[in-house]
Amino acid sequence: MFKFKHPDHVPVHTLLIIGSIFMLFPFIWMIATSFKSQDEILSTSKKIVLLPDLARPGFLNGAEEKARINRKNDEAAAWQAEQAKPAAERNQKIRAPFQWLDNYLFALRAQPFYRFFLNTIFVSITVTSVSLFFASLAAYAFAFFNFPFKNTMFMLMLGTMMLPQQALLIPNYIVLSKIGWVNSYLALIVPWFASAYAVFFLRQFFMQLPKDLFEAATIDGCSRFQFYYKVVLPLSIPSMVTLGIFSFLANWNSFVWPLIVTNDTNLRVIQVGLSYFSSEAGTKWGPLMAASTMTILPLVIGYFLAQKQFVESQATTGMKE
Amino acid sequence: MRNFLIATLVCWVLVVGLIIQHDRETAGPAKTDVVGGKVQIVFWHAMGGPLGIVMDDLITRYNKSQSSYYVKSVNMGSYDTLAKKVLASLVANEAPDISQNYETLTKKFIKHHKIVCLDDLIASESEDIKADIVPVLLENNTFDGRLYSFPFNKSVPVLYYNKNMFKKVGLDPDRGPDTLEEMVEYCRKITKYHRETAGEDKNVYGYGCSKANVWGFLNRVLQYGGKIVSDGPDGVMKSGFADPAAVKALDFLQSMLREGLAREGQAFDHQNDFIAGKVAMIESSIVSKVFMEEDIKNFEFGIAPLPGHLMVAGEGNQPETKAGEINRGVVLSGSNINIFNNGDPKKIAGAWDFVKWFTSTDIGAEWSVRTTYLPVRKSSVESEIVKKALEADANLRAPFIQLDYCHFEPRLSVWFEIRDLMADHLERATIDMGPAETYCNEMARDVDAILKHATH
Repeated sequence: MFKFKHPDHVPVHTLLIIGSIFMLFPFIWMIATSFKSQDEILSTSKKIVLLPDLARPGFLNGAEEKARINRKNDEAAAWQAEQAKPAAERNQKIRAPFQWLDNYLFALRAQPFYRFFLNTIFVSITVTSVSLFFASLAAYAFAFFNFPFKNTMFMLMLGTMMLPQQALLIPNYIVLSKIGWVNSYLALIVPWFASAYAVFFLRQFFMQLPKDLFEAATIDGCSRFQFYYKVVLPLSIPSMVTLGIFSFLANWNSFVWPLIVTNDTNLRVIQVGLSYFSSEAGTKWGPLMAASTMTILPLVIGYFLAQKQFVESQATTGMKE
Repeated sequence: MRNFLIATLVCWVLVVGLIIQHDRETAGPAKTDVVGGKVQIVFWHAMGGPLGIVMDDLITRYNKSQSSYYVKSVNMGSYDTLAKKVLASLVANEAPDISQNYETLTKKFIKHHKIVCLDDLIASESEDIKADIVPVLLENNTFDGRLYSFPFNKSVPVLYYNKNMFKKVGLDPDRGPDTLEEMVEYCRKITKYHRETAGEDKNVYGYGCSKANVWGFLNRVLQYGGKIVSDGPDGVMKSGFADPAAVKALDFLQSMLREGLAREGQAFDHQNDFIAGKVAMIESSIVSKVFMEEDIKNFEFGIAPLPGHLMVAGEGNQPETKAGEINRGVVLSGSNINIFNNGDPKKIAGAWDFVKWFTSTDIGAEWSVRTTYLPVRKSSVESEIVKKALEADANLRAPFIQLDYCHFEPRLSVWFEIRDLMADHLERATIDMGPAETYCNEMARDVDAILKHATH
């Protein structure tokens, strides 16, 4: 009989597996939908059909399956007959039968997705790295030094977190338009360099670092900036990484701000591109799901590649009291 | 960690390089006013998908056809986004030269002198353009007797029906129901057939509609001879939602649902249900035709004018409806184009040249035939291009039959607010299913409260 190595883990793991199925289901559904044709997506069938219509003999009952294959063959034959005619005589209404990658090709052709991707990567990396740098400097000052009005300034800065983004949208836009930044990369990037949340988050972490470290380093002749990049930064890699992931995801997913401040197609980011698939006459679910899949793909790949680094960095930060 | 940072840096440099490269290939985010010796005219719109392709095709042709102007088309995605972007750009003095807009916004623009009055531009033309515009569209864009925007992509709702289902129950697949009463009969036949025939999908309904559909409700109100908003004797505007026509309109929908002939869904569900063959008839914009043709593969569909109401003597309060005639009243939707006053006469001249070209007899006809939007000019309606297309494709004919029955919604800045309010009442009406008068009276009361403070 099968024996569990750690029987006490079974209930926990069962729960986690069920949880992860729930979490993964929308993604699986999205990916499955991206390979289906519009009539498959809107199918009347009561069965939950996860797999797209590839070669699946015996999946439906005999008669239905036969009819389906016949229909596919008819479609393909009609298409081929049309292709044989000279272009001017072709009946535009007869289209090629659906191929499983059609949604992806459609999505790629419908928008300059290539450029949207580049813009999103550029903006996300720039904002994340610069804002982490600024936030860590500010948090370092708040955590380790005393200066006049320190607490007032900190409170004021925290106060900015209480304002919802929506309330800031218009004033920010007007400021940017006055300095002529609307419709440029500057508008997409610069306003996000300072983040009160990041400063707060890092300050709380820095406060936990023992003050003795600072004193010891100072006695050894470390300048304040040296202490920051030789001691504080290496010790705070886990929190920096966490913050970095938050910031990167927030930028990758941001929609309203890029939409408002850019007009040019060449400056658009990927989330704005996704919104193009919904129009007043309905939503193109197949291409939308295909584009969404492509959008999350770099994140997933990036996470798997970097995961090892993150785990490693977390493992090496222990210190003796 | 170091490797990761290096990899990120390499990735960043690579991306920047590719962006610079791509900018070179596509001439970049041009902020310049002159491109290759031509004055650049920036055109913001919300035409995506197959309709956008047609428009970009025409714009390319325009750009090639002359040497003075270059129209740069910028797609903003949806109308909602476009409106927000236009408002923001006006605040920032970065407005485009032309944009698509709803009439409610046009009024705001006029008030703040942001757009050019087209009468002044038309005055210098040798041709009498205004006399050639379809009357209802001309009226729709005229404010205080002056033309401020140009009808651009106006559409009407039509009836889509599943020809295969019609054939199955012995109905003529080449025509839709003429009257609302006839449509109910059709629905009964189709629903009954699917309930009682073995081997048929028991969940098929005669009619599909969407919850809280204000557009559909307004069409029905007009068909029963009602009015949407009228001027009261004391100069205060009043809605017609407490009138018998509106009550009949709402009751019509409730009865269909009560009898189990119709199926209600959210937003575009009815359209998806139709594509999937779950409902036999739906009311939707003629513009959806292009999308339906792409998506429907398992049956043939027909497009008919919306069924109307056979007027009885003394019924309704529209002056133009007569007893014994079928009233096919419909509400127009779609947008117009404005030319913004950016202070550069060259750009205004270029913008006008483009608008004039786009709506000229033949180009307008081609635009209409390829997208199903209504032609703007009477001469386009009568052109050979339209005639030939109508002959070749029967599904294109419905809007032209409805052209004489078109109305437009009140051009009030509070109208969007009113629409939201109406949607709430309509939704309640089909969920609670109480008597139609109750909801109509409450709707009229709430709408009138807003109208009391609204100005024309």
